[in-house]
Formats: sequence, structure tokens, C-alpha cells
Amino acid sequence: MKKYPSLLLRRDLDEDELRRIVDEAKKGDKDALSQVCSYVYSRIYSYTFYRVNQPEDAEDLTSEIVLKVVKALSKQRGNFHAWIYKIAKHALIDFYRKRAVRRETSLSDMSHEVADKSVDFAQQALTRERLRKGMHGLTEEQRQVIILKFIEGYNNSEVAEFMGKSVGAVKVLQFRALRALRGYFSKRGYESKD
Amino acid sequence: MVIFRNEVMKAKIEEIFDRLIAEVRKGRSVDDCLHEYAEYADELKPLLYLANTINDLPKPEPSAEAVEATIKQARALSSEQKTSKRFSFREIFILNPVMVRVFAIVLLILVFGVATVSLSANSLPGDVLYPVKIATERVQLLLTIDIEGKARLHAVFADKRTDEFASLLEPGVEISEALLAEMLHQTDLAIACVVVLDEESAAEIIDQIAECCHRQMAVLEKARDCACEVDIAVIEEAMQECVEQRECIECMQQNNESPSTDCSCPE
Repeated sequence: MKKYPSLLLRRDLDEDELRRIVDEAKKGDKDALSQVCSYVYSRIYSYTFYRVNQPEDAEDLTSEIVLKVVKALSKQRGNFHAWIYKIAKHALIDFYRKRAVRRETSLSDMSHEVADKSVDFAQQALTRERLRKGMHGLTEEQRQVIILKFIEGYNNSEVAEFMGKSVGAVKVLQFRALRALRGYFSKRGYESKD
Repeated sequence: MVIFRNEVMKAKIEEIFDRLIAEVRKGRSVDDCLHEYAEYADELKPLLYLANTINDLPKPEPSAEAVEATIKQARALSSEQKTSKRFSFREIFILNPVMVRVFAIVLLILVFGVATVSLSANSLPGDVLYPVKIATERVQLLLTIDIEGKARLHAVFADKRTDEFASLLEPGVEISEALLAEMLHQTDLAIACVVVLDEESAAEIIDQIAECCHRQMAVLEKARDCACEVDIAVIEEAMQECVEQRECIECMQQNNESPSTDCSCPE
């Protein structure tokens, strides 16, 4: 399957450029709209990728979120990132509800699946797939903090704004999330060392 | 006391961990950072490495087809929205609070206006709504452009004033001179309009005015019988005027055409 080149996915827009493109898209500029879609897609895909079982599900869900963003774009005010993550959060809740799956796959199922492959885990690097499986054992908020802070690279204030939490709460969540992840990986023989 | 100390310690370690993450992001090594917090090193070191590893993981990338398909759908959706937006009743009236308020106020004024005008239709001189009735009649006249329409309206108004005058008659009570004058004035205006109309259009209105003059005469006779001393002269003068109007109308009816110079009609 052909992969979309990262550069075309416009993850690298600075605040001013993003604001300008969003404003042009609101006015009806088709190219600006495509750039906004591409940017939102790249940001949200990481967000959904670690929350669902299959990459195809992540693509479907991301596509749905991008279309919701486009639909409501004319009414967008304030922080654009906070706004798109709010839409993504609600879409994820709907997704879970529709699929009637509490956390995609229950933690016990996950333990069996991973335990069988524990040999592969030992002495191997952490991969996205393993991280995704490990994240299923976290709470919803812990997963959100890991994705926003360590995968997307936002700072504490931004994460706090997107999640509607205080900066202090984000610090606590990130610590607990990493500790839980570390416990999960240790049990399966993976140790992260430089 | 021990529990409280543990809570404080936890809060402290979470704060320190966050500080260390920031330092590592700036480029300091994990070991170097942990040197300042040796007592937490065992616990924090693996977490910092894990945070670093997650940070360094390549970003998941969607397939080009999925992104392209989404962009295509988004562009189509945007075009669709643009066309529907121009005529979106919902957008204008439901979602826009200012428009909702304006619409509600206009509706309220309309309802209130229609109700007031309807209620004023049966009002008499001296009633609160009587000025509304007169104002409505004036607006009706202003909005009527053709002479035939104006003639019909004046005939109707003359009829209404006659009814009002008759309704206010009471033995021993002074009559309303203004109302009496208005009754005769409306009849004069109706005749003046009819004069310039062609035979066919005028015939029906002439009959209507004739009937009105007839009624006016009967009402004036009744008024004279029960009038106070001071009003008798005024009523007799009005009766004289009414007779003249009736003669003019009869003349028109006889000729069955526009009045001849022999008729003493108003100019």
C-alpha cells in the first residue's frame, strides 16, 4: 500500500501559517481546505491509531473526524488544535458506542495475545504496534496524555487545554501512564534502555 | 501523618519527573538529569527512557489513498455546503439568534397590529381604539390609487359615520358636531369622486350614496326629535345640506350619467 509522504501531510505548520490557511479555507479556498484536511488528518491519525485495533479503523475514524471538521469549519473560533481534538474526542466516544466495545479489546484478551509472543518482546525495540497494545491497558485519560504529549509533542499547557484539565493533573496523568506502561512492558520482557 | 507524607512525596516525584522530561527534551542526558535527584533515580530512570522511546517512535502514517479520498470528500462537502448555505432557512432563522429576535418582534407587531385593527372596527367616538379606526381608514385611502376605489371607500366611511352618529344619539345629550360634520363631509367626498367616473362605474356607487343619504336624513330627523335646544339649529343646517346632497344624487340617477350643470353638486 502506497504511503502518503510526510511532507505532503503538513504536520509542520506553525501557528500563523495554520491560522492563515484555516481563514482561507473558511472563505472557500479549495486549496487551503485541502491543506487543512491534510494537516488535520495527520494530527488526528496518530490520535486514533493508538485507540483502535486496526489501522483501517483508524483511517475510517480519522476520515470521519476530518469531514466533521470541514462541516463545522465556518463556526470554528479560538484554538484550532483544542477544537479539532474536541471533535475527535466526541467522534471516538461515538465510535466506541457504535461498536459496543469498551476498549476495543479487553485487557484480559490482550494479555493472552501478548503473553504468547513474549519471546518476541524480549530484547527488542518498542514498536508502534506494541505501544498500541500496551496502551489498551491504560485509562482513557492516560492514553490521551501519552498521545498528545509524547507522540504529538504538545507541551503541558496545550495538553491541559485540549483535555480540559489543569497542568498539575496532566503531570500526574503522564507519570501514572508511563509507570503503568512500564509495568506492562516489564512483564513481557521488554526494557527500554538507551 | 505517614499517608500525608506519602502524598507529598508522590506529588513531588510527579513534579520532578515532569521537570526531567523537559530537561531531556532540551537535550540533556537522562543520567545527567538524574544526578540531581539520586533518591528518585531508580524509579524515574526507566520511565524517562520509556518516554524518550515513545517520543522517538516514527509517526503512524495513513495510506495515501485514504487521505486523498478524504480530501476529495471534504471538497465535495464544502461545495455542497456553499450552495445550500445561500438558501438555508435553518441557518438564517434557527441558528442566528439576532434573526430569530427580529423575526419574533416583527411577528409580534403584526399579530398585535391585526388584533388592534380588528378590535377597533366596532369602536365609537370617545373609545380608546377609535383613533386607530380613523387611522386605518386614512391608510386605506392612501393605499387606494384609483378614483372608483376612493369613491367606494368614502361611501363606506359616510355610512359608518352615520351608524356611529345614530349609536351616540340619546335624548337630552348633546350631539357630536364633529362627527356630524365628518358624516356629511364623507358623503360630499364620495359624490365628488363619483362625478368624474364614467356612467358604468358610477351607477352602483351612486345607488350606495343615495341609500346612505336616505339613512342620514332618517337619523337626522330622529336626532332633531330628541335633541337639546342648542343642537336643533345645527341639526337643521345638516338636514339642509343632506337634502342638497340627495338632490344631486337623484339628479345623477335620473340622467344615469355624469351630473349635468343643472345639478347642484359639489365641485
